Amino acid sequence: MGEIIVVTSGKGGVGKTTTTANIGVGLASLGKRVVVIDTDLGLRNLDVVMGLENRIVYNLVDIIEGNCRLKQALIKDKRYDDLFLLPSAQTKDKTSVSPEQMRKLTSELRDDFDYIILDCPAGIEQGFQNAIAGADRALVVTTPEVSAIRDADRIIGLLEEHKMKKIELIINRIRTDMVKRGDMMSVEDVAEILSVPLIGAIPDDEQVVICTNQGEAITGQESVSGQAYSNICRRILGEEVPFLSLDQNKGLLSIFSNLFRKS
Amino acid sequence: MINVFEPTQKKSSVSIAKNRLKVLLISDRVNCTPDTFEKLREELYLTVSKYIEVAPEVFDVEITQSNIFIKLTGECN
Repeated sequence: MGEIIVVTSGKGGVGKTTTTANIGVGLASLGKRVVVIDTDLGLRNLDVVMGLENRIVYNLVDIIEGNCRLKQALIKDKRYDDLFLLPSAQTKDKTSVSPEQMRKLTSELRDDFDYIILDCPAGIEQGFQNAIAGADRALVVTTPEVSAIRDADRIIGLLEEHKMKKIELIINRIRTDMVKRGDMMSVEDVAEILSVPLIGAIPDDEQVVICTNQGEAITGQESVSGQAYSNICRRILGEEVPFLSLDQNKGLLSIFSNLFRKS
Repeated sequence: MINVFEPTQKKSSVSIAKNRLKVLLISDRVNCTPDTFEKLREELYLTVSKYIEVAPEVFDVEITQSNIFIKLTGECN
């Protein structure tokens, strides 16, 4: 029985789609069978981030309207045979799907996949309600900014109201230089304010932009952000992974010292 | 007169952000304005102080998503 995870944030532009894509790739690289679903009807972009935009034939709404079978709409990833994308519809609006239909669709996928990851649209309207309907677990993405944290807090409240079993926090785009100067809230500051368990912290890394330009994932790559995403995936599987130092130089050093410690 | 020491004494922007968020989140969570929350805090203090001897300085109300904590810090006689 697979686990259904929704990646959500409230505020737009904090990195939900990038996070969804990278966690999908990360879990697949750990040998799991994964499907990532873009639930943002009318504004699809998970396909572009994953570099699969040219392979789309059917989409989420086609399945719901019965134009195709579920398996026909799933697009296989370029690298991993056990990673699939279910794209969103570009021409439909958010009322074309109901929370009930989403719940049915995701529960059908449970038999075939270890992880079903939903990329939630920004906002708290129907798109959000659809995305969280069938989920067992929510990953709330935020950045260390007042507006993003406020929206994350609101989303956490709605998820609790919805009786979400597990809510965990991902803090994205941290700049250690600014944190050191006292001009950016630290990971600890944000986690304390939102008071939900932290599952990952990702540094602001230009490598993420470069990878997205190419439609590639950063997970598993040499950079600190790639390592941070890999760690999130291992924590999703239930492993206890210590948090990385996000300081670029120190980070590399600590990776090496960890290597030596292991041997 | 221009105070040349002013820039170095400027509050860090993080502490400003944290204070703004503290007020903002509480009023979002209980769905009221910061003023209303201040009133709520005062009335809670009056109620608690009827039964427990407590100074206003050590009385603090914290609202998380699903819990309300009323904190009394320091020593009670």
